[in-house]
Amino acid sequence: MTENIKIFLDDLYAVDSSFKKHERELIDIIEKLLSSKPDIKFNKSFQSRLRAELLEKLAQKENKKINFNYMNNKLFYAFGALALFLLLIIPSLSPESSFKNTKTAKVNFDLQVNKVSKNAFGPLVAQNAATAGSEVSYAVGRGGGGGGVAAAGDMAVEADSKLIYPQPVEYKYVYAGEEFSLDNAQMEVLKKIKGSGSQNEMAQFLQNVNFDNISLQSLDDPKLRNFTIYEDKDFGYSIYVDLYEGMISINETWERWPIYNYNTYLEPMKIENIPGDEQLIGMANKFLNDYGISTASYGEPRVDNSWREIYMRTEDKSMVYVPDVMTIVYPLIINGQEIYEEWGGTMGLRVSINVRYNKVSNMWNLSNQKYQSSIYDMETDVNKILDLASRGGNYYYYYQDPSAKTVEITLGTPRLGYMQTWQYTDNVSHELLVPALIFPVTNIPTDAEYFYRESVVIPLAKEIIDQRMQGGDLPVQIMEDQTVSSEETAPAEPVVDLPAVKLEE
Amino acid sequence: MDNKELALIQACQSGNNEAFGQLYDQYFKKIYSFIYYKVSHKESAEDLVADTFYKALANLKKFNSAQGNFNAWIYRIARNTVIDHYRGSKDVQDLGALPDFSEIDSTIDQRLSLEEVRDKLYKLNETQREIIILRVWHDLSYQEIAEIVGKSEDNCKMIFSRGIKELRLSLASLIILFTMLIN
Repeated sequence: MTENIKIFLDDLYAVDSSFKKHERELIDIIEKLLSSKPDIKFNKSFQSRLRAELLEKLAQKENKKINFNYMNNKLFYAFGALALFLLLIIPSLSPESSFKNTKTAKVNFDLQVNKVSKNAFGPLVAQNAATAGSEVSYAVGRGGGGGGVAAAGDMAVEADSKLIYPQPVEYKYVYAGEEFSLDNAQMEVLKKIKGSGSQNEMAQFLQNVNFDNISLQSLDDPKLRNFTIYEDKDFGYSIYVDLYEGMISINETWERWPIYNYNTYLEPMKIENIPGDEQLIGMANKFLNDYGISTASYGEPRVDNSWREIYMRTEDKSMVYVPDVMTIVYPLIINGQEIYEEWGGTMGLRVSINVRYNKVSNMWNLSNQKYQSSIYDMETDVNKILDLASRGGNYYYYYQDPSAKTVEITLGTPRLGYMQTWQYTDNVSHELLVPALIFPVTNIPTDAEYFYRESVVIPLAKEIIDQRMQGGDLPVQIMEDQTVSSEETAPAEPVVDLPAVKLEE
Repeated sequence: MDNKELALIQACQSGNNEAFGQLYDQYFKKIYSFIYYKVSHKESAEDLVADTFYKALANLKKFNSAQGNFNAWIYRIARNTVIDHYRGSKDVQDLGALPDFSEIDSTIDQRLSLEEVRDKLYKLNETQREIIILRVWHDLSYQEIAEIVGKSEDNCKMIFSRGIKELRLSLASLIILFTMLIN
């Protein structure tokens, strides 16, 4: 008997000594319970991304620690001057109710693309990526595909036990668009250039600052990476500037917004209380205008209504959580094309409105638009692209439950766009925009209550396609009586066989 | 809570980002598993895990190690996040829900055992099931479980023992049935 089991038993005996009579059975039960602990697999890219986002959030909060009342005069003046300097480089963020813009000039990051040599960014996929397995890790972006077996929304209730147990769902993507061909064997991949170019000047400025015990001069080659300015008032905002990534965001000063009072219970929102799209977009436009943020580089704004679509499809409306924050997306346009996350979401400037208070709560993804472009080989085999699309872009192995309900998702004719992806080199992540085909989801059956994807995004870069085909030309079906190896399973047939027709750009 | 973890929490409260990163690394899998057991859906689990850590980050300054256990504190946030997720849908809320085993990587032998255990755990009520899972699979102490579920330590011990008793009885009846079938 292990020490652990002994502890369980002692606890049980302390509650009810009659348990001692059944010690053998109890040991068996506890051993079974212990050995049956499920080993939950999770997506490592999700883990890393969330970690990075949390640390960024923490970095935003750091400046809130600074209490100017307790700073010595030198530091006070230094930061005062820094703030002034920042107001010079970000003229639209000058204070009125602390921050609002009073000038006509708007913050606008003009698109700049500098061409570099072919394949200049090196491999688009990580060199140590596994070629098979459930967690192929390479330079792919957020989300990591998804799909596979998911829980159905129509939570089946077992009659005998009354336990709510979701039925698994297998999503199958069926291409129902027009024929097309891929004629460009080479296209430009874009790599975002980090920074705004002003951190060196700021660091130089700070190097002249001395504290009583700390001298910034003792630091070698210091650089100012990010800073936050915040309004210390109810419903105030903070402006976070990331000089390293070249990004600006405006967020609620979380301590001063009642929604963050964790002890306060807020009734769920009702759908009838949610403002219409036009009103939401009007509020977002006004906010951006007030803060002097130009939307010239972005397409027409649209409200992210994914929750509403799920709501409409769901029979039992009480099952659907009506969010209290609505997000308006201003899609980023580069070379006339929209940018997508790997999971199909649109990239762009985002403004969130907290509909409890009808106030903008966040604005993010306002970033510099400086890129390098380099020519890379592209996939021209339509069948490979359609094969990946029919899997929803999945490229990893996953378990298919034989009893899973199959739900068919219909995809329409693809359009060209860019897929955001990440390249990790020397512990630094670089944002890449890779040409991609965007297959719009044109039909979601009503029984797919909890499914929502705008589109399936398939990158065209040959390197990425090759690796996906290598790592995911299954799914592996794990049956109770056998395991299927990759050699035994043929790649899925493309859904349609297409003669060549040029794809409109 | 060990000294190393306490030091990490204190460093984190003092603004050491890397310390928070280490705490995150330490708790990610536990919290992910805890939430996944309850929602059985990858995307929902990811959303709720993110919410949990954001809430933990936002409230970390308020955490007082003298008044509570960090392990229990972050599990409680995760549990409340799941409750929020299900709020308004009382009919399906089951805090002791079991995972969708089909999505879990496991050997066939282990799967059989999982099925067996699941069947037995089904027979228990929601509170018993939740406390047994927290105690056995998450290896939490009764003190921690009490903090998480908002019951007294003694009550948790009582609920656990009743759950085990019911498991034992259902196992015993299974053995009797099995013996009768063989004979």
